[in-house]
Amino acid sequence: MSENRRQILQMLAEGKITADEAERLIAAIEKEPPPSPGAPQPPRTDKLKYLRVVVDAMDPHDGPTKVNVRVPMQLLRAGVRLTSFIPPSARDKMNKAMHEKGIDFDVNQLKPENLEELIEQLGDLTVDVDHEDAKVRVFCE
Amino acid sequence: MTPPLLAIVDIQRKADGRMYHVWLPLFLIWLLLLPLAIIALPFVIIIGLIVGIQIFAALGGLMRVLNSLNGTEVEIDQTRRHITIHLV
Repeated sequence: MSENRRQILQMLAEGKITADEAERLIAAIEKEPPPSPGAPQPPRTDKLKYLRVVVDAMDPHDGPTKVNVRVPMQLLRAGVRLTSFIPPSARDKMNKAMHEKGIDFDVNQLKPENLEELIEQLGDLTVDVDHEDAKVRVFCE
Repeated sequence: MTPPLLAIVDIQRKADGRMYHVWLPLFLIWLLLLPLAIIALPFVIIIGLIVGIQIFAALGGLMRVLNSLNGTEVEIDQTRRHITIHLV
């Protein structure tokens, strides 16, 4: 018996769901196809090697300028681990300064144990900033 | 892993197509910094004790950051020149 089916039956036994609801849930589980080997898998964090920042801007002296920066993902990992050594008072100051700039971000939430999840989310993320003077694109590869 | 030992800088002037290929020995910087780091270590430990930082763990973290710089690449393309900096 699968774990999902067992949970549904347990919920039914505890009276949390009705028999009809249990039947519908079990039917939904049976319809759900098992993941096939050829199906696209979510991006693995160990395959994301670099964070790429591409800036396309108009420089007043040198004309159109394109800047392409490739940052190793290892640097991001090491940097996040380093934040755990920032004293709490300095973290509070950082949070306050970012809040004043309109960035609602808590440095205390940046923990090494959340890092892989963060990098996994970055794999799906592309930041595009379109400004009249510059275009910025940030993505992982 | 080691910190980047070389910075490979390529500068291309688009007007005449002239190309400059420079290898900057970063390992010399690390060698120069090493004695200074040893001299500064007692002071850093004292400051760490006062501020309340696990200084050796923090230094380990800093070393990891330096080691992770390997593979960093910066490319700047302008009308007059094209510059590439690669840390290896």
